[in-house]
Amino acid sequence: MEHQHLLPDQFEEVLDNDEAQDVTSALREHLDACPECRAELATRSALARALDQLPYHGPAPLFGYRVMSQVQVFEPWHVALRDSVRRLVPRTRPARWIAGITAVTMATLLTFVGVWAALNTQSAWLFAEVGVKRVLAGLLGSIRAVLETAFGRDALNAIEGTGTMGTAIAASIVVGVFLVAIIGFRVAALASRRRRS
Amino acid sequence: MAPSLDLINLPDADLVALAQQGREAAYREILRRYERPVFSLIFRMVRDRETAEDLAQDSFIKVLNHIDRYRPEFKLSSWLFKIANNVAIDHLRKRHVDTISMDGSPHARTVSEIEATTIEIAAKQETALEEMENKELGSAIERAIAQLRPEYRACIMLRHVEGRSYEEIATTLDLPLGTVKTYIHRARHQLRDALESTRG
Repeated sequence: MEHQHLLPDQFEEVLDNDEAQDVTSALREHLDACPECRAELATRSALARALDQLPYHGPAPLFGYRVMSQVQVFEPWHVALRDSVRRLVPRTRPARWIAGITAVTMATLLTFVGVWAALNTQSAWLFAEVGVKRVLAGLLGSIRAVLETAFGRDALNAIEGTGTMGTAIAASIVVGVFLVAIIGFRVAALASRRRRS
Repeated sequence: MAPSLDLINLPDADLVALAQQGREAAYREILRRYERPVFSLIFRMVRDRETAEDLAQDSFIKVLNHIDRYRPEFKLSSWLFKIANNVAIDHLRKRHVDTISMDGSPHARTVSEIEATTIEIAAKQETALEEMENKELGSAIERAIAQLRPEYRACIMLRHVEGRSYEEIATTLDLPLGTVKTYIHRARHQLRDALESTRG
């Protein structure tokens, strides 16, 4: 190595390992003894330093806004649920105490009602039946209102004239149309999202 | 676009975890943290500010819209640079500039194949627009970098501007370690020649 100058790859090896001080002793010895190779290494080191100091170029100021306008921030359902629950929790300590006491009271009350219902099944069944009837009556009233709005009073009377089956078919058609419309909007939204991404 | 102090101090992995939970502020912080490095890499690859902005925008949109696919065993920055590099290389291939006429076949996979298909040109003829772009880049070293093969440019940028190890560059660019070393050594050699001819 004494009379032979370093090869280009050996210079690179010295440059790359300079910081780690891991260069072979033979190369180091040659560099110590050879002014030409030292000069060559200095030139290469200067280039490496110049490259290390290259500055960043910056995009236009509104670059970030342009990117974010095309990014869809997706919030998983469990995070959305957790956030919703967190929003319900009051921020101040006294408010939290009040909310806690209220929640415990409600839970206790519901437990008592549940236990009572379990022990008095006949009464509970009666109450449940009344409740279900009222809910059904409310539901039917809503469907009638929707059908009346959509088709008019005369059409509703005609549908009711066909009996329970006719009313059920008409209601099913309305519900079906709503479902198809919702699915259609969702498919269109997904296609748009795919195109953008 | 001022990020909150908490997010500024967060490591990348935590920032990605927040983004995966749908925190928009985390998305913005990732963008703020890497817009200059990613833009710089692409700008030095394509040498046109407007194109570089479009490609950097595409890169960020790809990353941020698929943040749920991020694998924490890799560095976020490596993933970003990988996508940015791929986007830039794809653009250069489509544009069909440099890669065939001077830098060898785009299908060349090894260094020897690249050299075998490279056409030697003594001095690259530049249009007035390119000359203006070069002036904008501002220095002889930037001009010398612009004359490198795109693959060399990416390696040199990651090595020197980003301070990445050879192993990280190999992972980021999906290249064998030996190829990365060869690219960087040859890039430095070409840069030195270019700078010397500028001085001479």
